[in-house]
Amino acid sequence: MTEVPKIVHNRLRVAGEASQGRPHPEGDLLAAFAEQALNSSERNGVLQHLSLCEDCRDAVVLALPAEAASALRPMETEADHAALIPAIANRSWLNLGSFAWPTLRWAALAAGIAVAASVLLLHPAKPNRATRTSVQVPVTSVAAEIGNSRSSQSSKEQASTVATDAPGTSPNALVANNQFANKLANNKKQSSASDETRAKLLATPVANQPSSAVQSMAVQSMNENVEASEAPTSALTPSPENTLMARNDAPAIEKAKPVPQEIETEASSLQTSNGAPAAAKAMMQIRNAGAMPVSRDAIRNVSWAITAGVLQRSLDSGQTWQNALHADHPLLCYANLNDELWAGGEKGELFHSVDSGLTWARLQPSVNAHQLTGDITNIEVLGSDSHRDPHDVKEIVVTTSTNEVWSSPDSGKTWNKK
Amino acid sequence: MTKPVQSGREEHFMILYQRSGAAAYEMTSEQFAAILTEILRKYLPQTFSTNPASASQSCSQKESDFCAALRLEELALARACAAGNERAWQDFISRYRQKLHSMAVHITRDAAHAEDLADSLFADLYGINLRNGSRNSKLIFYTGRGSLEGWLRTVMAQEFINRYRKQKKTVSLEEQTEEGVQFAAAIPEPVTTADSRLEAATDEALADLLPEDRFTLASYFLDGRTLAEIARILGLHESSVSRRLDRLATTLRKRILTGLRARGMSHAQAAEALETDVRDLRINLRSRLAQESGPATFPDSRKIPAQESGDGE
Repeated sequence: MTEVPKIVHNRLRVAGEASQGRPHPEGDLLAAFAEQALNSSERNGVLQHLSLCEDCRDAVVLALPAEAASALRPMETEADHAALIPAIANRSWLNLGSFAWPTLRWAALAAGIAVAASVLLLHPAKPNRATRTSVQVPVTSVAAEIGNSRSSQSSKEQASTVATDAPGTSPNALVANNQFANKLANNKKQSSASDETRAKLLATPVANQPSSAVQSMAVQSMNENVEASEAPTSALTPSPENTLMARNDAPAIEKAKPVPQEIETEASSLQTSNGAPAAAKAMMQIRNAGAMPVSRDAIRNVSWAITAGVLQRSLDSGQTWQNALHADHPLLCYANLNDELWAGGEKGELFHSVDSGLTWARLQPSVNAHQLTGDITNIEVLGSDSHRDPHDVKEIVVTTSTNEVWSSPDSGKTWNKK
Repeated sequence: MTKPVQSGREEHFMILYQRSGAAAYEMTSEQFAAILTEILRKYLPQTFSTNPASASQSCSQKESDFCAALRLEELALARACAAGNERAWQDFISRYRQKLHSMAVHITRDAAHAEDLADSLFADLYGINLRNGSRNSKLIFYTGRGSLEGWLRTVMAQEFINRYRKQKKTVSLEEQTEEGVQFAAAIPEPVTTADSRLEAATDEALADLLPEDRFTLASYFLDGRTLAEIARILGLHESSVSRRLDRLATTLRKRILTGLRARGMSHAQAAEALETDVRDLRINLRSRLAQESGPATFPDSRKIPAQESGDGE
């Protein structure tokens, strides 16, 4: 934890006491301040007052909107009020209050990551079924494959109701597959529908992200048409899970309409080759699906760290970490402002990302043919003074182990050496 | 000073009036223009007060930028409510009544206080006090610079601090006592007999910082705010606040040491002057803050309508 000499506390407090009685900024100014709607001179004036006035600091903090307020508000009921009664506000509630919702959000994120992980886990089974020729498989071979896939699936952590259905429904599956074969025209829709259902059952957050959901659906329906054949089976056999399936199917089919085209193109590439290119393609998609920020909130929550020279990213406040950038030389430092991210390492390695680390560009700072070659030990991103547009990066300043200070006013296009 | 712009102010105000939808609340363009003039006079006094003659003719770039950033629609609603328009008031109720209640619960975390606070603010907004037969609504102080909702939250938070601060502090002290944390009595008040050179060097180092940095320090070290709270107020990422605090701690230490040496201390003396147990002081600070009864520092804003705009300039 950061500490400052105690005299600093002392003098800050004394300065605050000395300025008591000064007029306070009005509510409209404080409100505009909290919404970053003031120009820089007004903002500095308010900050100057706030640095001296505990009351106004308290007011600004109290007036912060409840986090994700729009989502929570409808849920605030009398019961919630009753739960809030016990304590008259003191500062500790602020911590408690902000605790509950982020936890839920992290859980949602974790669920999203679980879906991405399950897609990745499913993939290795693909080569075993490389001879699969799209959805139009004879009924018997589909049945055989149910057996195959059952064993492979049981080894995976497949939390879907479809998967758990499989053992009990294989006799029915044969019967159903006759009907299934009669419905070849509908099959693709249904297969994607079943995957959509699974995606829904696993985690709604990812389903909300159309691109990643569609991608994972496409990949899954490619790889898992065994399950696709089970979908109608389950729909025909009444059971609690199946009811759930059936209920989810109808809207899912609607939603899945754009998908069949994609399946067809993928399927044809699978037929014409031995499956490897398609596998690679699918892998790419999975990567993208996994790497895509699950939502805007995820970007807000993203945290970064450098471990053993590798830049890592966490979408759940540090519980799990993924490698985000692995450079030739160990990375030493990073800095970010909103979606922009810089990472620096040994031997002058400097990288820049404008999309929270999804893609990276390597920068080679140089001034008059003199290149930055020292180890980059610190990067500082200075935001624009214009608070109307806080996304503006005014300057980035890089410090090296050789005590050189390099700065760039245009996100790394040109450099000055101080 | 300000370059005149294509359109006259009247024309410009007319466009803003149409954009605001104020007509729906039976507000005339003249009334709306008067409101805009009042707001501009408050926040851009140079443009208005110094040269009223030219100001009434044309509309500067600065001014039109300012107006473009205003929440015109919410401004129209608020001022129409203040003017007593029934339809505006119905709209306001349907949009904010429930929110006011939620805000109060969020701010007070106490059902009884929340109801009290929300009801009293609601009465103030409606303008229960009559003056010359007209309503005296608090909504007249809304200027459209931030969202109406944000303004309502802020006004409510200020009111809450005015009313319940003493109570809040008493209770928190009682709670501490119940928990057996009686340090307030056990530990003597911090003796402010610090070396005057140390005080001066520290004041100097603090004065060199940006207001935003001092705000960050006060919030974190005096108020015990979390990084997340500070980050939300400043519109930054939490990690940026964390790094800023680290940087500030280093900078301050360095500058104070430099200041002390400039005041004739040796390096060792300066280092020793800074070397004290910070935690002791933090506990003392907390207890002192809890004991202080906050003065009613928020004057009722309607009594001082425009005088503080200079504070934010």
